[in-house]
Amino acid sequence: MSDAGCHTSAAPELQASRTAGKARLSVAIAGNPNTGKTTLLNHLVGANFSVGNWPGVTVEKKQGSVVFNDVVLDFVDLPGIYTLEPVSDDERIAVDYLKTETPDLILNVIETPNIERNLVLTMELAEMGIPMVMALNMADEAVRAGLSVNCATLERLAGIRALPTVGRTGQGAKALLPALIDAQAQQRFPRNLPYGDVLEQHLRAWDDVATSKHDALQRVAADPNAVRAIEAVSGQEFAQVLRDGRAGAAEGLYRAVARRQPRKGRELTAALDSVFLHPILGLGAYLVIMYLFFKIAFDVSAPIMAWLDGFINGFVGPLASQILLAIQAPTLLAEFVGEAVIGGVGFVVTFLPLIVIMFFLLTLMGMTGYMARLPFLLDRFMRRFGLNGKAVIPLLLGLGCNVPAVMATRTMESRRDKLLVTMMIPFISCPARLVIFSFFAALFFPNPALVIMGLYIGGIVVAVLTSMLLKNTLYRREATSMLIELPPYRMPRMRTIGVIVWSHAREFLRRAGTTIFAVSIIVWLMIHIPFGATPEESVVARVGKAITPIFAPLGIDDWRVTTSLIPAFLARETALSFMATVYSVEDDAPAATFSPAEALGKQATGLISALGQSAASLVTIGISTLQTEDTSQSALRVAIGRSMTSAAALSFMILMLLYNSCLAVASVMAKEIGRKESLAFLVYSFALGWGVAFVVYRIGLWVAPAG
Amino acid sequence: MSKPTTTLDALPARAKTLIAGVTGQGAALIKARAIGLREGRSIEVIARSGRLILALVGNSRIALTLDLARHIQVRAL
Repeated sequence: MSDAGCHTSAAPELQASRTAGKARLSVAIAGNPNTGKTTLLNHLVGANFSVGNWPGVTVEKKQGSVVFNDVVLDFVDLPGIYTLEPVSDDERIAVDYLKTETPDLILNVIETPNIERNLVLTMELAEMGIPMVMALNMADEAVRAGLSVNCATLERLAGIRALPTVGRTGQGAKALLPALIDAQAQQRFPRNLPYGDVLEQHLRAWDDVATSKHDALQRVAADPNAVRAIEAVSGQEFAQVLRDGRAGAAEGLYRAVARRQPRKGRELTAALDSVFLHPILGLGAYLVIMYLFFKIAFDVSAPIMAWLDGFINGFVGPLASQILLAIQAPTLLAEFVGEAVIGGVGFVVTFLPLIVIMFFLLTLMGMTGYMARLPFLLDRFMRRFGLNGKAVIPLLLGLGCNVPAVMATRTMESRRDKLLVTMMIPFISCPARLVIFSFFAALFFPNPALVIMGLYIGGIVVAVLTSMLLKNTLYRREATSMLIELPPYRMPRMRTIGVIVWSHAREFLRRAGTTIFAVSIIVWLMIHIPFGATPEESVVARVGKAITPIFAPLGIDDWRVTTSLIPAFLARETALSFMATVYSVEDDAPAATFSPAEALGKQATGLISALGQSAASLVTIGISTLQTEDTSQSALRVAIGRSMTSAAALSFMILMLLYNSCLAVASVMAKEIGRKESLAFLVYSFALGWGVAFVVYRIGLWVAPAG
Repeated sequence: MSKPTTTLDALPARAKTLIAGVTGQGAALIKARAIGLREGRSIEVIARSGRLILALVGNSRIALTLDLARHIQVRAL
C-alpha cells in the first residue's frame, strides 16, 4: 500500500497514570465485521479480548481505556456492521449505541483490501456529524493484494485523518491516539460527500436547522412531499435512493484514492477453498480435522494430566502436610488443607492441560479462517434440522464453553433460528463436562475414549432431535436464507493464540480459586457439622439422602454422588471437587514417609517423561489415550469405584451431559431468549436427562448385571 | 444495446459477470447490497453447493442462498 501522504508517526508513549481529573473522550470503534476492530483495541489499551477470523466474533460491546497526553480515551468496541440498518441482534447493539449514546469520536476501522465496500459504512458514519479518524487496517494484506491507497487524497476528500495499521502486529495502532485527540480538539468532522442532485437539493432546504446530515436526512424522510418528489424523479423508493446515493459517493471516493493491480497467479485462499469447500473433499477434510481435534486434545493432554495429578497428590499434598506438622498447625487446619484445598480444588486443577489444548485448537480453527467456512460446508446438513449453516459456529463454540456459544446466536438473523440454536447448545459438551467424563470413563470402562466420544456424539444427536422436535411443533418453517462473508485464510500469530488460550486458562483457574474453592469449603464445613459426627451423620449426608430417591432409579443411590449434582449446576467440574472433598474426609489411609528432595526429583523425571509421551502420541493414528484401564488407585477412584456400577456411572454421565449445562448458561439463555423459554428448557433438559439416563441404566443392568 | 440479463442463481460455477441490479426489499437484501452486491460490480461464481452459491465480489468471498441469488440480476461482461 502506498504511504504517500500517510502520517505514520512513531508510537507515542502511553501514560499509565491515574485517570481522575483528566479530560475524557468516548471513542466508538465502528466498522464492517471482521476488520480487526478488537485486535486494534487490544493494541490500543493493552487488553486481551478474544479475537478471531470470522464475521461475528464480537457480539457485545467491549470497553477499554487508555491515558494519552493527559486525556482519557474510553474505547467502545462495537459488533461489526455493514450498514446502520441492523438485521441481527449483534448489529442492533452497535447501531443503537451509535444512535443513542453519541460518542465524542468515531474510530472507523476499514479492512483495506475491501476498502470499496467498507467506505459505504463510512458514508453513513460521516452523516452523524461526529469527529472521526479512519484506521486503514490490514494494510499489509492490501499490499499483497496489489491495492494501493493514496492516503493524502483520502484525507483531503474525506476531511479526516486516515492512518494505515496492521492489526496482526500492532503496527501503526498507537499513532491513532494523537490523531483521535487532535480530531476532537480541532473538531475534525468528516466531509459529507454528495448523494446525487435530487437528494442534495432537498437536503439543502434543511441546511440552517439540521445538526448533521443524518438529521437532515431524517427531516427529509419525515416530509411526505419531499419523499414523493424524490421518488417521482428517481423512479425508486426513497430508502433505495438514499442507499444508492451512499454507495455512489463511496465508489467515487474509492476511485479517487485507490488503485488495484491485477493479481498474478492463484491466491492461497482460492486454492484452499477448492479443497475445504468441495462437497466431498471438504466433508472428508472436516471429519479428519474434527478427529484430529479430539485426538490431539486427549492424547497430548493425558500424560501431562496424569503427571499433574501425581504432582498435586504426591508432592504438593504431602509437602503441605509436612509444613503444617512442622509449624504445629491445628489438626483441623491440616485436615482442611488436605481435604478441601488439595482434595477439592487441586483435583479439578489437574484437568487444566486438557482445557488449554482444547481452547488452543478451537482458537486455531477460528483464527485461520477455517471455522468461518463451516456454515457453507455444512448448510445442507443443517437444513435437514430446520436451520441454516450459520448455526454451526455457535454449536462449535459450544465445545469450548456454552456461554459465549449462546451469545454467538446474536448473529442469527431470525428469532426462530436463534431459539432453535440456543436450545441445541447446552447439549454440546464443554470441557467442564469432559472433566467429569474423563474421570468416570477411565474408572469404569476398558475403552474410555470410546465412551467419551459416544457421549459427545450422543449430545449432538439429542441437540439435533431437539431442533427437529421444535421445527415440527412450535417453530414450523423452512430454513431461512443465508448470506455470509468468508474471510481470507490467515496465518495466526502464536502470541495472539497464546493470549486467548491464557485468558481461558485463567478463567478456569479463577473458577477453581473461587466457585470450586467456595464449594469445597462449604462441603467440607457441612461434612464436619454437627461437630464430631461422622460424614455419614453430617448435614451434607442428610441433604444427599433426601434427594437420593429422585436419582435411585438411575442407579445413583449413594448420597455422596447425588449431592454432587447440586454444586454441579454451578459448574460441572465442582461435582468432582465435591466428591474429592467428601471422600478425602473419609480416607483414613496412613500417610507414607515423604522426602521433599526425593519427591521433587521424581516429579521432574515424571514431567520429562509425560512431555515425551505427549509428543510421541502425535505420531500415532488412533486415539490412544485412556484406552487401557487407569491403573492409578487414588482414594477417590477406589472409593467411587466401590460405590457405583459401570451402568450407574454411565447414567450419571448422561445426566451430566443432558441436564442444562450450568447456572451461567441458564442465565445467559434467559437474557438471550427470555426467562419463560429458558425455564421451559431447564425443565425439558432435566426430564430428558433423567429419562435417557433411566433407560440407559436399565439396559446397562441387563447387559452387565451389577455385582 | 444493453446485454441480456439473467439472475445469479442461474449461473454455473466459474461464470464471470456484472451485477445489473438487486430487486426486492427486505432485511436480507438490504444486507446483500451493503455487503457489496450492487449494480455495476463484477461478480464471479466460485462454487455451487446445494442451495448455496459462493461468489467473488471485488475482494470479498460471499456465500448466499439461491432464494437471495434470484434477486441479483446479472449481465454478461
